[in-house]
Amino acid sequence: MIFDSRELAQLKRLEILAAKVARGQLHGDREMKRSGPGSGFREHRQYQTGDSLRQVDWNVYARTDDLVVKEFDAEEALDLLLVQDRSASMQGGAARTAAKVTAALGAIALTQLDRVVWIPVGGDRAGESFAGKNRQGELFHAVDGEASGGSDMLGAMRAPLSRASRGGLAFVISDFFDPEGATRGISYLLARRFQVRVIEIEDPEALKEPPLGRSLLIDRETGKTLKVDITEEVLADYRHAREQRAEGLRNYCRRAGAAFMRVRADQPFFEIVQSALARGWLAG
Amino acid sequence: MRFGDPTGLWLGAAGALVLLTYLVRRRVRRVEVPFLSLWTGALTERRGGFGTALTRWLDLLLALLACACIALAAGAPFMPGRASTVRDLVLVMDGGLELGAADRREKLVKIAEAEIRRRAAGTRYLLVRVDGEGARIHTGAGRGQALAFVRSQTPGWQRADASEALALARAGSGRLTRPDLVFCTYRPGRPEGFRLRSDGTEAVNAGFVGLEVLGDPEGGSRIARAVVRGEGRAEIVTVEGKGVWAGELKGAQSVDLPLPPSGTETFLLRTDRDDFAADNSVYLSLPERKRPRVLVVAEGEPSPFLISAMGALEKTRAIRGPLDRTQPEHVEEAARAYDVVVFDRCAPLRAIAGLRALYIAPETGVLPFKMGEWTDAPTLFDVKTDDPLIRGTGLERIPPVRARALRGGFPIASAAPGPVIIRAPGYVALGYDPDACVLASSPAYPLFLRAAIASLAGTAPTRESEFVVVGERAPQRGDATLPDGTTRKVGDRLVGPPGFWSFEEDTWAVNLLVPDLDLASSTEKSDPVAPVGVPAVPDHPLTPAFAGGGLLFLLAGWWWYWRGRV
Repeated sequence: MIFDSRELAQLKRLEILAAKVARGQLHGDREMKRSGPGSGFREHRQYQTGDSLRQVDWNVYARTDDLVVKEFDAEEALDLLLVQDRSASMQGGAARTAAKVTAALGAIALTQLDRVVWIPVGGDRAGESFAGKNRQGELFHAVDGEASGGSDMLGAMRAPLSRASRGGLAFVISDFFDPEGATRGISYLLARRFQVRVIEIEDPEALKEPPLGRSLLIDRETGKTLKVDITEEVLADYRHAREQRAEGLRNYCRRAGAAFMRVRADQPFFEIVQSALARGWLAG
Repeated sequence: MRFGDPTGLWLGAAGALVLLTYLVRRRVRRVEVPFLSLWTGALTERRGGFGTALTRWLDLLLALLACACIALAAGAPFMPGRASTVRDLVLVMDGGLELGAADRREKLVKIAEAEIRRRAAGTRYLLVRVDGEGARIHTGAGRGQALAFVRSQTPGWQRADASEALALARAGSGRLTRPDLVFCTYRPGRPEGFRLRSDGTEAVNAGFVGLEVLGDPEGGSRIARAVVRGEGRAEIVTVEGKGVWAGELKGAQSVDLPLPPSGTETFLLRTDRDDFAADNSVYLSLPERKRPRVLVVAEGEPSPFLISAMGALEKTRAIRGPLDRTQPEHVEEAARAYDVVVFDRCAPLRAIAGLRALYIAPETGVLPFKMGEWTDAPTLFDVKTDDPLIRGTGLERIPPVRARALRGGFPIASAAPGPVIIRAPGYVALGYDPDACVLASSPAYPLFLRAAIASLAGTAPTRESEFVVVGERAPQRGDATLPDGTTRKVGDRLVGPPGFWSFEEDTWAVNLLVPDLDLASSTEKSDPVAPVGVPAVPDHPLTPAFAGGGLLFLLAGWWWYWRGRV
């Protein structure tokens, strides 16, 4: 089980918190472009055969003898896209944290009647969509898998999203160690009109610097090796490269309009999700 | 490709190096990282520095050097001096003078046949038969044709030019696949102490180096005290073949030889180390350059060739008419007045005792004059063809003509400066006889004479020329063995510093060797006729070094890579 009893209690509190945040907005904030059942009046139009008589505006008819019907803006449940990095680089604490955050966000969304689309990056499991609160357990089981494989986020998202005609809210939870480029997945989501929330998980254990001396560095994902004579200078350059990469990701998100949050792998999921809720990330 | 023999030694050494390098390599710590690109990015920045760039260039240089070395080694993959096991065959048969003796020729043919039979049936051949008249070439494949070619060769009667033969063989061998070159020639045995030069030529220095007539000429008890120099077994025989001395030569030694009460005796020195390489003459040029005054003494009309040869020389004077005993004073006086005295077609014994000139016969020294009565003028003798000393001399009687000088501090002309002339199979004549031999048509002889006289008279074109070497028809190059045992390279002219040649010693000899004759390796010890295997494609002497260097560079590069320095 991905959550223990204490964490389940925390999750319950998060759901309540999310409900408070979203109260009154569940059917009102996310307006869609087509007409349909909803509370917001849009316009009158001439009555046509087949229209329900309940839609007829009898007040107008009484005043003008015109048989018109009232049109309202449609209000729909929003798709929540959860992109969870389960590549081999996400091991240990990072993988657990990513899974718990994903599960918590999905559980909250399912509680709020949103449809959740879960896309794992890495591993051999395909993406899946969930709807209804009763599917929380399945979601928990799905996200709690072994980390393996590469970090091809773009490849992982292409197939599930190829038929999606509309955007939505997307959470990307990853360490963004994609050799092909950390921002490819984010760019893809933005191009498909998703509101993107980026949660970068930084694993201090994984990024721990090796001791000085000759080392054979092995990439967890690709298995590629590099022989390095670790010196203070090399370490300094490594730190610099790491900071530059992190800064580059943050700047990219800011420029592209994606919300960004960097968390540590040993940070409790409760704090992370709470922070996201506090920022209104689930509100769209 | 092979880098040489034994191949296993090379491979073993290389393998040992690889193993050693593997054993002593530095182990590295293995660290798993989530994202290797972070490190490569960092290191790429570091590689932009000067030190890193230098390292990369060093890596590249090592790789290029390794490639170059291996390419060079691949281009000449034979070890120098080692027999090669290759498919094709270049067989050079010496058909020259030295192989004229029937027994030698038979051995030569047998060995050539054995070489051919020893090869595989499909072997391609380049057969070259060389003698003084040029080379005959036969190419093809199959033993039958090759054997027929070998057997069809008749003995030649001129000296083969070994360098020409080798050059020809090597040029023709380019169409073959790494051919073996077997040079079947007459060659003396290789007893202990036989010297092998770095250029592949063999030094032969046995011969008469001096001869002094002792005793009372009137008393009928004369002896000739000859100084003989050489190595190994030798014997001295008369022209009739009567042995007068036999012994082991080791350096120079004095030998007393009995002389007949009257007349002339000719001694032949036979050793087991003679070859055809020493057929040269050495003249010492005069130290000052000047126009020579030449006196030609002839019985009849001087040779028109001789006159024409000296025509360009000023102050040439010819004394005509037969020489008799009334003329010695005149000749002697003339000799003092002239730079060069040329006795044209004079029998040596008819030279006047008071002439103070010297005649050295081809085979031995004959001194009709008393010691100490040497003329100051360089003297050149031309030997009459029908001289009884040499007339009818069989090939087996002809020893190498040694260049030599006797004490007295003046140059001595060889009696046989010109080429060996073949008049008929089995007989030779030394020197120039315009009436009786084919040399008259040779343009080289007048040139030779002129050059010789000019050198004798000090008209050599350069002041540095202390000596001029007059050899056979074409000027030869080679090494000269000096009395102190050292060798000097000589070209058309034997060049040495003033005073280089010392005549204070009784004995010294100069032997010029035919260049480019690669008698590099043979296991044969006693058979005078033997094939000598040398690579048809000359080996680069640095081939093993290049190959080894390439391997070392590769190993160094591998080690450099493995040790993980970035």
